[in-house]
Amino acid sequence: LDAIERRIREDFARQDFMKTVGAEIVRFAPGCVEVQVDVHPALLQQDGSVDAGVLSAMADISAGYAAMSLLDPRAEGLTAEFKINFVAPARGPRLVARSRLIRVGRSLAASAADVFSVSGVEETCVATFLGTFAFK
Amino acid sequence: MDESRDRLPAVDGEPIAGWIRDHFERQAFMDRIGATIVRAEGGSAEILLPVRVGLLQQHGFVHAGVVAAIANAAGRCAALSLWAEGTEARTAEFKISLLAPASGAVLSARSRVIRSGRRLGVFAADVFAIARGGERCVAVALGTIARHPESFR
Repeated sequence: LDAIERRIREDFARQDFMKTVGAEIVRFAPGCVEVQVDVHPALLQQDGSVDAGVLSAMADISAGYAAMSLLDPRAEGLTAEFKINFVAPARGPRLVARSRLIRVGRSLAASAADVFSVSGVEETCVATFLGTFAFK
Repeated sequence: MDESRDRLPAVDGEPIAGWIRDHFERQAFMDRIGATIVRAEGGSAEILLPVRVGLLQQHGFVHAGVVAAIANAAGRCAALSLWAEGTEARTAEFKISLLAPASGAVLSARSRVIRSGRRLGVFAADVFAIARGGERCVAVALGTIARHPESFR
């Protein structure tokens, strides 16, 4: 497991867009990877909530790594498709994406993630994501 | 899908209404990634995004979140273009298929409204990667835009 976690953290560190957003991996477990973002003004859309693209990116990373966490550390993955519902405005001050792996096959994985807006001890689900990841 | 590739002629010489440009420019994240809107009228819109290092994922392609962000923003602006001036709207949901790795010099998200109702608008958007050799469709999206209730009461 250590090799896989190390591999995923290295992979994450190479994602420049994650630096642009300011995302970090805060929890790693097999089949569940938690990604966190501290909301800052550059992430907002027209109504003052976090842009749908940021929520999509967080969910995508969290769900994709959940799949990778159960694969060979050398596997390379790409997102094939996803569906995301935005169920409430995401205002923060902190956002957390939590994933759950649904199935890993030989070349495809189905993985889900929810994004929560966190304020103190209060958590509100702001988006829910279901995606397909292709591996080789 | 090919319909969206036709650039509609600008109505009244303006490819985008001022209030929709304001809506777009209030999106700090669009500014952060460097996206600009070039057209939003008559139920279609186009957003351009120059590709740069800060937008990439670990394999050197544009991150799926960025591709999704411009498809969504193009869809929302297309939906707004068929509603009354000043309408506020949020994205309720979308589905996106990533058909090919997104690389190239510029990405272009082109959207069109499939149906514009009183409360909801449904859009389709294609994202193209443009390079010297031409352009390639890298993603297709289908989404729903919900009008703010104050906007149609």
